[in-house]
Amino acid sequence: MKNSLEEQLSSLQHSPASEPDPQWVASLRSKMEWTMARRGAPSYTPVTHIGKLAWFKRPFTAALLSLAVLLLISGGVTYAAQGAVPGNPLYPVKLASEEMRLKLASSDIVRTELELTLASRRMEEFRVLSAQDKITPETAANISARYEAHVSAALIALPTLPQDAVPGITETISHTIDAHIETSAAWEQNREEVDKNADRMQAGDAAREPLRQRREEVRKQIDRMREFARETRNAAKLLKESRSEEVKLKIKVETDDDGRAHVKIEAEQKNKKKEKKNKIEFTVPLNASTSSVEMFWSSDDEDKKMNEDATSATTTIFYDSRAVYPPSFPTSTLRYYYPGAQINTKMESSGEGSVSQEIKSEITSESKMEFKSKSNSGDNEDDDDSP
Amino acid sequence: MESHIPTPSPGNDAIFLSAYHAHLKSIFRYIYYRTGQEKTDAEELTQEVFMRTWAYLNHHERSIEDIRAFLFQVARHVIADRWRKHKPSIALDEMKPSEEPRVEHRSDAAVDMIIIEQYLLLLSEKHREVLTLRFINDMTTEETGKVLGMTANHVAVLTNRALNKLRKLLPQEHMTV
Repeated sequence: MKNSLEEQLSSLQHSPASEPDPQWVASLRSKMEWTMARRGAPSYTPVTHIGKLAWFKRPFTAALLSLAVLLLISGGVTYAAQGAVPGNPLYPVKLASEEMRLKLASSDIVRTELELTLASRRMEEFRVLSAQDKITPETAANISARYEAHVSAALIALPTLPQDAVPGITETISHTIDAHIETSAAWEQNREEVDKNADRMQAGDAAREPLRQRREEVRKQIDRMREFARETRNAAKLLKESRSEEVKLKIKVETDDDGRAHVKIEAEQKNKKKEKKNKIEFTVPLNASTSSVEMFWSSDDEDKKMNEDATSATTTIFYDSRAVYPPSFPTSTLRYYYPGAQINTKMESSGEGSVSQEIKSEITSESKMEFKSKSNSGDNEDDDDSP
Repeated sequence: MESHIPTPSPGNDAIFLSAYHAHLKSIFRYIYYRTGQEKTDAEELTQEVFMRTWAYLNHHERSIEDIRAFLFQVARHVIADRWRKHKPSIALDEMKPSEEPRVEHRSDAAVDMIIIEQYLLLLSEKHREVLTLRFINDMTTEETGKVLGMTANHVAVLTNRALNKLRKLLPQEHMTV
């Protein structure tokens, strides 16, 4: 039973979000004492510039914030950590500094490009570890999961970017992924060499088998990353091309046995010459820690009717399997008006990270993008509808 | 008033310190909710408030009758001087709340708090301020009136308006009252 609004507001007196940081309280106390001891002119540094008001407020968990503060103080450590690979004690520092950079990114475009940079970093870590033959299946799986998360984040961000930025970013995605595919091809060959040598040097069958299995596991991860990179390249290409041509998209979200959510996009692209069916599929791993995204297509065209089932729920794709995303929370709906019809699809997602309902959407003709922030209440006040 | 070198007064220290302890969190929270809920901003501004207050106490013969009201008035000035002027060109009224809360597994109550905090950002500055003072800083209509320069009556009216506005914004399932 919910409290009255007044009670709920009063409860904010104890909100952890607005609780001053004890370290800051202590430091202010000493500042005050020092100032008071000095008498006369207070010697504080007047605040002349308040940091940028974050366009998107992203609440930090307390842990991340204190780590972030620590990182800012220990800039030297962060700098040293940049070259770390998994296994190195500084690797978590590197990851934390990346998280911070993402959160502090000044625009969606900057953040998208940063995700690509981070994806490249993951590739590089993979390469380094492979070359040193230090890579275990678990590490490989972790790196590949993070890689996919970064690339997916970049792709999924595409609809939200300003129209004129999209071609540029799509190019960047293509180039970056191409580089990844090349890199992975190069050290795939390298690995074969390493593996052959290792095989030759093995003592007996007993020792050989577990090692071979391990290498197989690692190879599976490499293949998975490469496959993903290829799909991404195709997806980027298609998204780019679809601005001008007619594209029919089918978007499906399902969970596989490993608990990984897949976003499947089937695109039918109508060429002037022939009908080409391009199937793109990219995977959003559930254990990556990027933010959650709500996809929302709206349609008011009678001809392009939706399935009745599909129109009745809200979908949220969780990237963090622990995330709880209350449906009543105000979210920005990334309205992705694709070429032509706006297709209204909201799918209720339930359980921890399981996204199980199918969205069948049809989108055609001319594209338009809109970004809006509104509550999930039934009546939507469309105050500013201008694209 | 002839200019003079302020004489150190132990009384001032004591007054100031007791006010500091009593109202630090209050002022911090006030500033936090008024200035877009960024802790770093709130920290800097809170410091400014107490530094200014100390400077005032130290340089003026007059004692401050109601130090809490004084602190809040200083806070309003500090916000107007130091924050409004430097934030990027988004009107406070148009602040958009975070759309991707990193909410980990939390209790319903905790999530409710987050929801209310986010929706507070959608109110106008005046509405947000009165709700902050009345409910988060736990002030009476008279006390609030003192800070805002209004009658208690006016505060009551403004409070109701703000509550109604908030109620309208909140999603159906969030409200039962």
